[in-house]
Amino acid sequence: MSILGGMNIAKTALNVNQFALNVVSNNIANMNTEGYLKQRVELAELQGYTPYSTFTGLKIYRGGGVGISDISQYNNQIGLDNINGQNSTLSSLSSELEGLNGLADILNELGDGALSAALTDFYAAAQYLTQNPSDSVLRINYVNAAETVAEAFNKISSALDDTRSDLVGNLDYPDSINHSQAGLLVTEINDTLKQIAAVNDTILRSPNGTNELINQRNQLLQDLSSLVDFDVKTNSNGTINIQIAGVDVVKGSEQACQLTISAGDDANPAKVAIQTFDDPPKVKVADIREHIDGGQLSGVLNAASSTAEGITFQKVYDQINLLAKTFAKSVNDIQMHNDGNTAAMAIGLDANGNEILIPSTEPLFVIPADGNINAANIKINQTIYDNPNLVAAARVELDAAGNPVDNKAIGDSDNLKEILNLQDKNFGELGGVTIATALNNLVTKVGLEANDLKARVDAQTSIVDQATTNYAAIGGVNLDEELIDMIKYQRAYEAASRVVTACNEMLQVLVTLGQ
Amino acid sequence: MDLGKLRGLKKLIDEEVQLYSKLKSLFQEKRKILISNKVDDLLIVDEKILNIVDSIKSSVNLRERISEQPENKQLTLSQIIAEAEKYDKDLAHEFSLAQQEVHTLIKEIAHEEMVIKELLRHGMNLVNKTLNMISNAAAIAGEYNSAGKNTHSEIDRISSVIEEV
Repeated sequence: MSILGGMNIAKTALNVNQFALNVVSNNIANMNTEGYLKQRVELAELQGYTPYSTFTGLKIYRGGGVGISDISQYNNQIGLDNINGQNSTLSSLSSELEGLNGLADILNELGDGALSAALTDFYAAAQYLTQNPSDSVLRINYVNAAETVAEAFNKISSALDDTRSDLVGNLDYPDSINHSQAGLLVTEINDTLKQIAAVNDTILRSPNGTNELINQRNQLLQDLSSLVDFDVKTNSNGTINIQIAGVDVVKGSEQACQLTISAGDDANPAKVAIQTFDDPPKVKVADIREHIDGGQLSGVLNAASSTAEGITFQKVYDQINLLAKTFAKSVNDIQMHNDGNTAAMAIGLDANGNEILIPSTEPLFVIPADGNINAANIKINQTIYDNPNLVAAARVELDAAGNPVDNKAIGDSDNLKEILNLQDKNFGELGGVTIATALNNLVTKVGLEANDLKARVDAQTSIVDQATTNYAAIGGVNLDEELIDMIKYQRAYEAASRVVTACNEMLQVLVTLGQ
Repeated sequence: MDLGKLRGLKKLIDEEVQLYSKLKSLFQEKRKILISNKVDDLLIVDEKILNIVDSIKSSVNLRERISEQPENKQLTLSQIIAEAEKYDKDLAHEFSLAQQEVHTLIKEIAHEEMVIKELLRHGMNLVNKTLNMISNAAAIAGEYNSAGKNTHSEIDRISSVIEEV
């Protein structure tokens, strides 16, 4: 070994030493950087060759010291895919839970609270009115109580509308979908896909030193996983393809498709499609809702859909509308009762200005042109509001010609008793239960579903935490681990140094023998 | 020294050459292990090397007894060849070939030893500096949650901004 040869080995070792220290330093500096994966210097012997022969004719291949073959990274793609998949599920469940908690709040506050109380007050007002049907104050009280019920339904409807608008926009204003949660998520997903394609492009142009870029891409994939679920395929050139709903949306350095959102129908108010950038664009998937299971987008679309499984925003909306319709129609039917045998009677005036019973023709709640009363449009009839005498408290028998056969006093309350009977009436359209029970069941069902979903979110959070911990345990920077490694190396090197000393003595013996 | 002892020495020297050849192979293996940083394998190869060293020591002791040299005074192959020339030219030639082989081994083993020393020096330097770096970083980083993220922020504590109420 010549002096120059030895110096050369020492020089390469020092260079490597410096570089390896930089890598370790970088690891420690990034130990708290989310998504950072520790790096290691992979060493290799530099192949040297000395073109001289020994006196035996043997050519000696001489090692040229140590060099860096690679800066490797603990990139565990399976672990990362696992985190991303579990994270998508968690995001979807969390979005659904957020939506369901919103529903629960609305129903608890406005349904089980305001609406339930308003219904109780309405029947109480009816009860008071039966005791003295000609009392104008009690009539006003009854009408006001009916108005309060209508307003309670209106408030629930309005709150649900606001929530739905927040989720997927207002169908009456199609552009509002772009500013809804679903619209913003679609924009965010497209931006993330664009960034991933750009990072892929940079990786393609930087065949060496791509670890930082891979970290960056992993972080983007993790961000994307909370937005929507996807599949990843790694290409041989280090880039990746991303599939959403089975469609390649990113192909290496190119964003092949984008997500678009448009207003749908009542059942599915937002439709998210995947289409190409062509002009005109080619639609690859018209509505991805049924093709995706994870991510916030799935949660938001399902929450606003009436066709998704479980309790959804739209299903609650439909149920509240059904309650409003059932209640208003039942009250109106009794208010304007006339089956040919008996008829509901309001109070009118005869020619002399005396109060008499007259056939009731005004509904208590306004019947819209299409005949469909719902929670949004239920409204007290202004005519009755202005003249509470038009409340049909009495009920009389009719003759064959349809005229009243008896002349009950204006103090009769037989018709109001039918209103009171509504409290205990089971409605087939409500599943064979009363209106109050149906409302209570809805509130309870939403609460139970929210509890169930919360338990699933908690369990899924644990799964994501575990997957992240496992991933970080392999790829994350852990000072304790680094310290243990270093102490192990230190001891091994010290032991190896002692062995070198022992060997050196034997070499001296061989040198003496060879003389 | 008689011919019988010379033949006995030849046998011992052949055995030593074989042991040194094995030592050279183990040195080469050790060099690769040091380069790939396989610390556990390093301990194993060191144990093998020490076993060979023990065997060489035994062989050297036996050789010293046969050659009847004064203590700490070893016989060299040049001296042995000169002795052999007196009894058997062929045997002297065989010793001469063994000497050439020993020369080659000396160069090769010395080279391997040099590389191993450099690699060890490099590794220990790296380890010591890394240990310093870790001890410095530990003071700054505080508690580590094993998930690549600090659970506690010191920012509030060190902030000079006093919030007005």
